[in-house]
Amino acid sequence: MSLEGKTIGGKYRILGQVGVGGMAMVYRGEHIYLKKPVAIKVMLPSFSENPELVQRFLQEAEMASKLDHPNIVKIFDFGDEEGLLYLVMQFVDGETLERILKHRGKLSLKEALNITLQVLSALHYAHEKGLVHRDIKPGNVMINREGKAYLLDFGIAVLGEIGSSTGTKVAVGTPEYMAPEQFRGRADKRSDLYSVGVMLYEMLTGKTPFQDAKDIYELQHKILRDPVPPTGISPEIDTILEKALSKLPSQRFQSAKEFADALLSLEEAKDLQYNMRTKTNVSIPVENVEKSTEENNVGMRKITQFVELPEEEEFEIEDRGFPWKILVILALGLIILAGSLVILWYFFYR
Amino acid sequence: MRGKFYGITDIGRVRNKNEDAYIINPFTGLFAIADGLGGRKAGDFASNYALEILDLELQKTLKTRKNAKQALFEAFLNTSSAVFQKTTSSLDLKGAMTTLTALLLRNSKWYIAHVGDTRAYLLRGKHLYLLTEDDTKAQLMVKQKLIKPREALNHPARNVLVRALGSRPVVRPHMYEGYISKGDKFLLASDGLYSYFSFEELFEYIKNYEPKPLLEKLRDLANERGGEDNLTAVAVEITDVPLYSTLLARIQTFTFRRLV
Repeated sequence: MSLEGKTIGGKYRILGQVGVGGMAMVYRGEHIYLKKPVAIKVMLPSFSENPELVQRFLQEAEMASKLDHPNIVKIFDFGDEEGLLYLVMQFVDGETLERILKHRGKLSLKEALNITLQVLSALHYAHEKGLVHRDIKPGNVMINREGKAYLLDFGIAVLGEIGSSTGTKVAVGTPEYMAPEQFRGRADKRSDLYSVGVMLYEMLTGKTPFQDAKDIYELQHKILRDPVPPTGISPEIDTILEKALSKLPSQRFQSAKEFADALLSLEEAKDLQYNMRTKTNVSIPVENVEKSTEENNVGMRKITQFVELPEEEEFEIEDRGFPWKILVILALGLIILAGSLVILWYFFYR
Repeated sequence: MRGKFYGITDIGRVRNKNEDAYIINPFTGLFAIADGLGGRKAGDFASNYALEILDLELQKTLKTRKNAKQALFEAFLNTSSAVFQKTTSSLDLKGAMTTLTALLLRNSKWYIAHVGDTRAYLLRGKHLYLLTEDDTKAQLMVKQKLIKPREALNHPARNVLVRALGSRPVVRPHMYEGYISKGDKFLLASDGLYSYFSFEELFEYIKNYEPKPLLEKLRDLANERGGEDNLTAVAVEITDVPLYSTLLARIQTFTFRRLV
């Protein structure tokens, strides 16, 4: 499908392809009259026939257009051009964090903190609006040349529980970044914060906590059960990550603000000027944010997918052990009773 | 004590919002379901909020209280007041209420704290027992000896709730407890699920299926038969428990309310 050079919606000219998403192509474009650069997301024709995915595309448009935050990509327009659904978004001159990580392996602590804080700021805003992203991952974070981070794709925010084509209930997300409860079909703002934790972990170590899992089943099992291996960077970071990646939502940071405050207490975050309330924050540049010319290898990407809910799980709770206390009390009672009977017998019958 | 569990919640075929919810905390042994109601927007809020607060509160009270039953009771009271405060503090949430049935497995015993018309069933040996008592008008009529206990379970007034979290500043739960026997199967279910099944049917399914296939089967059947309400269920099967507990549990069974 070549749309390059075409005009869409009568106002936007498509200039060149910049990426392929799970269900859409992303193009660079411009407003014909204003010459304003924009990004245009066009839904792949093969998906336009699936009403469920169309619904999802529409929801992304509606949701995201309501959000106004410096770290969330803005939506300008939405339309239907001869059956092609498209979304016109703010153009971010940069790369996705996923590509940067692929290119550089890992980031410095300061860069990682900077990006994480910006994502948390965006989430803080969205969460206050009652919106859960559900698919936080490096592929959904754009970093521009100044190091400013933008959160993309609120598309599955409202998708919560959706039946797949086969009718079985499944969760939606990117397994590597999904919180344990998402595998059980539940997600709230703390699930997003878990995913941010995974992303921070990946930025610092170059891999996600359970990357060595052989397949999705092992991955799922590890996410539900295994403790997160320490990063080895500093005990303070490990403490924060341990909390962020707790299996139970109630043991994690309860809000994006709480998470950000913990990160800001780190020595390395001292000169990161940052303010969550006023939504202004100074970013530090991230090295090597430049267009990579290599073809996007779709097979290698960590993609958003329908994940089947897990098999039944097992639990084990420690028992108190045999109630010896009761037995001892009973025995004592019997002894006292027998004793008094003997004494009674002794006095009255002898 | 070891076991297997599974939880399921489904919007059903008719409603456009899922006001049911469940929570499972395999670390403390808490299994709970809630069915939210009332308020144009807020039924789903009330049920989810109540479950979360209960989970958090229980983690706290289990540390301060030695007695698990006391801990559950206290956590439940705190939850009820939290739900009341939250729902009365904002116009959006006004009128939101929720039922709550919480099963706590600990020390080879089960404890249930319960308010509303969600139910806890127990399959032990060759019988199915109902552990909870519905807080419905029909149940009140039983207490006033207007109808018989068995009639209440399918009476027209069985859907009319008389107690729920959020209705009063503090709601005292019904408390139940007992020892756990090996092979026990607990089923927590909301009315959207159990009202589609006779006791005999429920007994057959619980007896013959493991937690996951059981819940999937019940969900699919309930939806086939109408699916007029949201449904939620949690199933727990106990696979291993100390022998003394099994013995004590079998003695206690005589006091339970037998359905099948």
